[in-house]
Amino acid sequence: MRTLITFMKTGRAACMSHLDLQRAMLRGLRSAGVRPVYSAGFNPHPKLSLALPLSLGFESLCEYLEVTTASPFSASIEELNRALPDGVVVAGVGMVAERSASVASLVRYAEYDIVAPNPPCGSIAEQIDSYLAQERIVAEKENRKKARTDEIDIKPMIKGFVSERRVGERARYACTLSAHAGAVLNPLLLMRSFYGFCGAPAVNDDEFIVTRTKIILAK
Amino acid sequence: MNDPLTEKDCYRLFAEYGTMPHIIRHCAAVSRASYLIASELRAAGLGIDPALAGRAGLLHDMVRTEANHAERAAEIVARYDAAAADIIRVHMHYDLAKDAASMTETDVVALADRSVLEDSYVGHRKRIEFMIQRFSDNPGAVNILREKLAETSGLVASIESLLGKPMGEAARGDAVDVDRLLRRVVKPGRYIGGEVNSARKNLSFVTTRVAFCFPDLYEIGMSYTGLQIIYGLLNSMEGVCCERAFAPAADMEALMREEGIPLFTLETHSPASHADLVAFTLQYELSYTNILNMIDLAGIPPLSSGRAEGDPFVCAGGSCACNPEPLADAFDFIVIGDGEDIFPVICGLHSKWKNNGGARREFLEAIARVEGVYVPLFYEPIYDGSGKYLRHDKKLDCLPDRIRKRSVDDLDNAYYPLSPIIPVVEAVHERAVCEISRGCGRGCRFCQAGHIYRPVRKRTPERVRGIIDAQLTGTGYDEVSLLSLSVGDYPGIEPLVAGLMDDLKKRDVSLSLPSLRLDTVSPDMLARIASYKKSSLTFAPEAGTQRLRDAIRKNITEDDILAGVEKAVSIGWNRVKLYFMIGLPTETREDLDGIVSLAETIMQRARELRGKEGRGFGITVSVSNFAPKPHTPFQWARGNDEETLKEKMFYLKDRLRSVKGVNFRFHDTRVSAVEMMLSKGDRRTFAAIRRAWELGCRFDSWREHFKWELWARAFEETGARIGEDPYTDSGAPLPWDIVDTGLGKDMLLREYEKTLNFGENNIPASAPAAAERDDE
Ligand code: SF4
Repeated sequence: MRTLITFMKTGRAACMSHLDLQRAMLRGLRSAGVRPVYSAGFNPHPKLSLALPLSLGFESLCEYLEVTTASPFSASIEELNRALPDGVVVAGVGMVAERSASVASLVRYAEYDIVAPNPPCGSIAEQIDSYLAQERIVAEKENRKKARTDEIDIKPMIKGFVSERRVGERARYACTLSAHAGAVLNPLLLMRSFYGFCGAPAVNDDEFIVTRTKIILAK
Repeated sequence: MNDPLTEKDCYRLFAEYGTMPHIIRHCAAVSRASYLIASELRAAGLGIDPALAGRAGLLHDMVRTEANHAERAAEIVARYDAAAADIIRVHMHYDLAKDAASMTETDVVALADRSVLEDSYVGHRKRIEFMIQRFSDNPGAVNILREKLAETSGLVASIESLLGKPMGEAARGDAVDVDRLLRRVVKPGRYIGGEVNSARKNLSFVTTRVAFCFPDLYEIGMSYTGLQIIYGLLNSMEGVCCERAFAPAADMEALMREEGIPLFTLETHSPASHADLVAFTLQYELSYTNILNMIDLAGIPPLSSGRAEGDPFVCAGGSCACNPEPLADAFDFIVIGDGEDIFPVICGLHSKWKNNGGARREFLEAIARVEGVYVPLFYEPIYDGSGKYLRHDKKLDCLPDRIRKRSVDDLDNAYYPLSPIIPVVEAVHERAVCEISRGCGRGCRFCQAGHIYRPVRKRTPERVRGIIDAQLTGTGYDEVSLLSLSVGDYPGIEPLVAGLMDDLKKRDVSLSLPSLRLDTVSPDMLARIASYKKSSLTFAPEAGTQRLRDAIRKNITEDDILAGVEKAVSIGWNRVKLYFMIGLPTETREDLDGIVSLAETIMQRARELRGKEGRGFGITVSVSNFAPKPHTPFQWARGNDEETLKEKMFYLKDRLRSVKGVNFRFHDTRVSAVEMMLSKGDRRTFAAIRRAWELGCRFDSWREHFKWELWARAFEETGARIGEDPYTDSGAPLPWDIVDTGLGKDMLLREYEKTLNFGENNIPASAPAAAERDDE
């Protein structure tokens, strides 16, 4: 039986890594009396999958976890929340139709809310327009394996990018980015590329406050 | 009447109503400020409920994007919490033209809301002026805002005079701002707290605040059962709360120093120095520089003698406390022995002392009389003209001459945590742990744990099962470990393990037996354990020849080992780990060769048994360096110097290379040389530790951080030399004699002499029989 859990990861819980979160989820479920099915094989692991990894340091309002159990899912939202660390908050629990595709394979886009210091001068909206009007939008992507940075065209991966407003020294942006397997665009890559385009002063990655607001699934 | 909403309930409402992330952050900031301001006002005598103000603050803007958001939010909240709803309903249109003395929770929330910009507390002036700028093209709005500013300023002035401090200070509480550092460090999860089962005590009901400090990284400290025991115990007491602090990693330490952030606790992120008792655990000598570093990061004066009224009491306990001298100058008191009985006594005395408003010294005098508490300031070590240690002189007549170790008699009734904290960052061990016994009766002469934790005490199998069951339910762990110095010696271990395994299998939980000695295990049990791959099989012969094993009183023979290996191989095990020590008293080259030939014999036997397929079998030979430890028969022994140890290691490495299937692991000889200096140190050793810390030594037990040159320099500059040992004369007093573990020194000496009589040519007729075990 498959169950889809919707949850938030907010506040300091943003400091939990993907693996830390997986472990916390497994324990939370077990402690709330839910026993995930284990895979067969030499090194059995529980059938538990997060729809889309969230970078360390990002908050999220909308995360999905799919879990397979042998018996019907019995825990209440309250029981789960009691068994999870602060900031990881389950908002909903729902059954998944038996033969449907896994939630991870249904992910198409993700929406982000970004607060960033040192916004470019002038009208941010206009600069976004001309940024998006480029034929190719080049971003530098770190290639850890080969220890170099590659230039890639991220234009096809940007579905939406707007500036919300300016708050003193900071600005807020919202974007909708491709997130399906093989074409996941990290919002920081977009921000760095945009700041570069505008000639705005460089900002360290850790100064962007990023919140994932939505994961958009295929119908 | 419903229970008040919890924080998690509130976040669920956010999720349900789609509250935007920046609004949630704003709400949390208002909630925090409301709670803290309300707490201050309450402390000043107003009848205000800080928790109510905090709840209302958290939810006040939950539907800010809707029209009439205050009314709408109040409607939703009213279903759960009428009082909070009333506050929320009016928070937008509220008149603050009043006096501090007449304030209600509603006023507090409105004030906090007018003082928080986005997600940070900036004070009402900045906040309102920001709005004025924003509406500068709307004179009507500006006028209203100016009125609000004047009105709020009047209230704030009145609050400030009531509280006697600036508003900004009142609203901050004592939390430090770590959030801005967290994005800049590796594994920030180490510093966030908020774990399942961590304590959330309401500080307004607490008199004695304890900061339990573990002098190593989060993931090391969180695997230490002693922390979970003391933490759970103290937090189960009324009026006491225990928070945790760990040594920050180098990157975090650098940022903290740069930004002026002191050592903080994970529970409240407040400075550790705000605790009443700052308690360190002494688990290994190589954590000593981390302790000095943490005291420094906390901003606490480094020496006990330099602390004044208002400073916290810095204390310590744990196994290394049996020689309290090397760090005695840093601690106000040191607890010797088991902590379960004594910590409640100390906290009780502290609460009483604090409520009475006594002087610092009065508290120290009170606890110095408690059995098991050592107050170093009251005991002065005396040396003769040549610097030879003579004795400790006590400063108060009413104190005992020696500090008697504290020991819990009845483990079954002693506190044990049923809901341990679950680490948020992967720790070394993540499993339910039940300590099944404390102490070990085998009496191996080199072993400190075996000597200082006597007598052997056990938990009954019923209690063990109860603990495991409760822990699994409370944590969701999928592994259980039985903790003991020697699991196999637990009477009735086989039925216990058999029963547990059956139960655990049904729950998808595995069992690990970390200190299982192969020779104590029956084939039946071995077969059972084999069904769980997590347990590793280990043997600790410690020495390569029977002569040396007898000399150190390690009751294990080559036949035992081979029989164990045979058992293991026949069940299909393909890896066994063997532990040895080098540098033991009376050791010769033959004993080193014995390690090699034992490895050869085992491999050969395995090949015989497994035939052709035997190729997959291997052994790990792990060799550590003997370091003499206080309160053992070998306390007078001189450890090998660093060069000798290194030469022996290379010799073994070289010889073992030719034995196929052997994986050789060894310990850093330089680390051991420093460890020896610290474990047999006296009060003067503190100068070297302090100097090493000043020079930059940290995390010395981590090979990549250990800095030999700095340690050598530190000893040299403080008048000592690594390798020196002034305490080898069995007739002379020892500085750690100040601790009375209950073992007679004459007994230890007799045991030591027996070893010396086992010199090379003095092979005994028979090995010491098991009957000789002293289960005293
Ligand atoms: S068996 Fe020997 S080495 Fe092990 S704990 Fe007991 S006394 Fe110490």
